[in-house]
Amino acid sequence: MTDDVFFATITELNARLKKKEFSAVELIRAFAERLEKVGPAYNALALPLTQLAIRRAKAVDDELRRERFRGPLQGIPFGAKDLLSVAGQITSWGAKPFAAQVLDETATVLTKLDKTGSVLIGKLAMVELAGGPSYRMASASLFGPGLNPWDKTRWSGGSSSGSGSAVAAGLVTYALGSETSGSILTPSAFCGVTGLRPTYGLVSRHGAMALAWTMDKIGPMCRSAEDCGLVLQAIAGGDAEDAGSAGKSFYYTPQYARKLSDLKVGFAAADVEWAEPEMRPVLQAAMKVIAGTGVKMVEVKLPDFPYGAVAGTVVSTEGSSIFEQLIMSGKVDELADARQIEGLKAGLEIPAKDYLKAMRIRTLMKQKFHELFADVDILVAPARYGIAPPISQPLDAGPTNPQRPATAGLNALIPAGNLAGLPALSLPCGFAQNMPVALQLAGPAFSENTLLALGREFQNQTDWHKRHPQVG
Amino acid sequence: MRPKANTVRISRRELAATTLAAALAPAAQSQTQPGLAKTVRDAQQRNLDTLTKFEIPIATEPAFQFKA
Repeated sequence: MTDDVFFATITELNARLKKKEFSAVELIRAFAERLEKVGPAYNALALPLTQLAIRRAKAVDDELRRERFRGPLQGIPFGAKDLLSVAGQITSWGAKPFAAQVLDETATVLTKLDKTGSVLIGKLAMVELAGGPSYRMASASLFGPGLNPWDKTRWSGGSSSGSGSAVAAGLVTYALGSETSGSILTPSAFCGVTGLRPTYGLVSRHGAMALAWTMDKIGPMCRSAEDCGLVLQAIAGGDAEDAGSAGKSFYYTPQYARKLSDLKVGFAAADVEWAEPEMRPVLQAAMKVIAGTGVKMVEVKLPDFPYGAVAGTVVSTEGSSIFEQLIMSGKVDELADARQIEGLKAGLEIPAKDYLKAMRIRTLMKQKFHELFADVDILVAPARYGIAPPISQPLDAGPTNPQRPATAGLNALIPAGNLAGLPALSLPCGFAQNMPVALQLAGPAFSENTLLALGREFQNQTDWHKRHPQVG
Repeated sequence: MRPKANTVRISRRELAATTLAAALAPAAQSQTQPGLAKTVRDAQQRNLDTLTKFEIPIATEPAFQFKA
């Protein structure tokens, strides 16, 4: 098996399957064995599902022999963050108190992917309980700290740690992650993969662990913007089992995307100054590529709100309510991260008036983002302002850039975008200290096709998304 | 090209690096400090104080839909 298979995109692999260069069983077996063997080296593997996967691949081969083509995902191996349940299998949510949990339902997104013929080869590690309301160390996981395939002494990001590592290391062709406030964008940026956080409500969360009902989203982490579009098309859609479902479908239609020259892209000049010094030339070069696609660049300011305080309050209140039984039983003390434990306990004490105030502020945020997106179509900003930190470094160590710029720029775009339910795309855009650097594109609700169109053009003009670490 | 079974190998050096990395990662629980509960509650209270100070029109209802 060679890297050209392990690091191929969905469309490349599917074409090779159809040309019978290899069978689905051969492909799935090779990936599954690689995931089982290499995944633990990054603390990325939660549960291998090799036997189930090979059985499923045999069915795919039967279909391919009969020329029953289901679409580009047919026969493609993927992994799922371990907050997505598979009936009859362990779903640990990355947390010791749930280490032996077996649920009797399969998550809607996994059922949908199964119908496309895509093959789940394993569950991937994650930060315990998806990280909420707060954790302090990279080791806040049943599986140990997520290790970055670009440098194993650095963190892979959270909370979709295993999803980021597994895609970056070529252990799966794509993975599903989830985001409440940064959990897809952060590991995508740190691991140098392309990640898409969909609009709130576009993808069903039925069968997924809830951390914050009003903020949780499930999305793909892939090798390219195009792959993200293909996976999103398969997993999006209304679901009566998810109270937050928007009841909308998504069709990846790059052929109908707006002309890039018609798009206005908002940016903030201060953003580059917020980034670590080694990242600045990389980000500046990437912004030039964005500008060179023909879009009109417009300087903007993020609406002025206390995003961090609102996001913290919403996630703490909802998360502590969800895990009230865990907290009251005392089993919460089995979690790995002491601050996570205290954060969950403290969240039960937040007064209703404060939670409601946070939710009222979200109403105003929504209005202001409507106004902002009347002026621009997309916002572009660094996905993260620092590279992946060493795993020994507390995550609250603070910025390494001691000189804070005078204006905030778009540096609160992750909590802001999550509170307003906006989609965002993380694009690898270079390296600093030999670690990946990424841009994020964010847009109004249900603007995924526009984000993907600009992302695809960026990736036509660069090859950062094609770089991969040396593995094995 | 037909893919064969995986032949990825992890070198001793890599295994050592991984082991070292894991050893370098301090156990999260070991970060427990006597004042951690107070630190967490103080941070939470700062968030709540920020919300209290943020003035909003009286007619503003809580968000019931979370899409922009």
